[in-house]
Amino acid sequence: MDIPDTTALTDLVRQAQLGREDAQRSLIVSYQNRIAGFIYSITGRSDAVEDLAQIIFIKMIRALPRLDQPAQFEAWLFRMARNACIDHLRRQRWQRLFSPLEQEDHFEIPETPTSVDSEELDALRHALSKLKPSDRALIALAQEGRSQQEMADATGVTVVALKARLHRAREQLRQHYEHAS
Amino acid sequence: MNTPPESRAWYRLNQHAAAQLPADFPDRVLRQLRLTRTEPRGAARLFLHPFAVSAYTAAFCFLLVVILHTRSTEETNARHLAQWHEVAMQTASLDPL
Repeated sequence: MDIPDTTALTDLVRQAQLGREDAQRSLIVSYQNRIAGFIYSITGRSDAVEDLAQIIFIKMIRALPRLDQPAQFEAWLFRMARNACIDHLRRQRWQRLFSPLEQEDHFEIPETPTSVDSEELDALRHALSKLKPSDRALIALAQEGRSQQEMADATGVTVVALKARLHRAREQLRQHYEHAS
Repeated sequence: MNTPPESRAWYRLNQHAAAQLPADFPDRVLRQLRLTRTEPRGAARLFLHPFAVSAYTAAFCFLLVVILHTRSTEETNARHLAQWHEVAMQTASLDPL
């Protein structure tokens, strides 16, 4: 489903804030594919996409009444998604730390490309896996068209620092991608 | 602006990720939301988190050790003081002056 224009989106968000289930459903339908791509680019795991997307949309609906500016919905949603993905990766790291016998857990095994995956997708997945999770999140936010100010707010750094980090992350991604493809 | 070489790969990545969601994904989210509304939320959920429970237990044990140690020290001090008092009395009674 296409993303509604700004005015329609603001109306939809307002209705969802009032608890209207049809509006909440429309928001989920409008953003589920973008959120799925966002999660996958940060976690690199297909099996994490559905669970994390569900967590993010449940958080979204619960937190909607506290969103003061419905016009800022999209930036707010992706900030929430970024935090959920980073928390997920952090939790996994802790789990691995406290469960050394579960080293062979499926999260440890890198996702193997299937026959239907293209070489391009495989190369991008490989390149992303070489970056730090915070840099992957930055690239994913930029890929979603978030402004530098929004990305700086989401990551808690200044715009100047963000520009430098984003430039470095993009360069690394490009190098790894070219190397892999 | 030049298109980055990986732009087509991004499109494929998004397609691959979107394909991981079932067709009834929005219904599943709303169903799950209804179910979780009956569970403890916010502060209550934080309170029952395993890390939080571990922290309370550790804090309780630490407090218990401090209390027991304080009591034990006070009792020992009182006993030693009484013994010292007794010795002092005996010494005073033996003093010829």
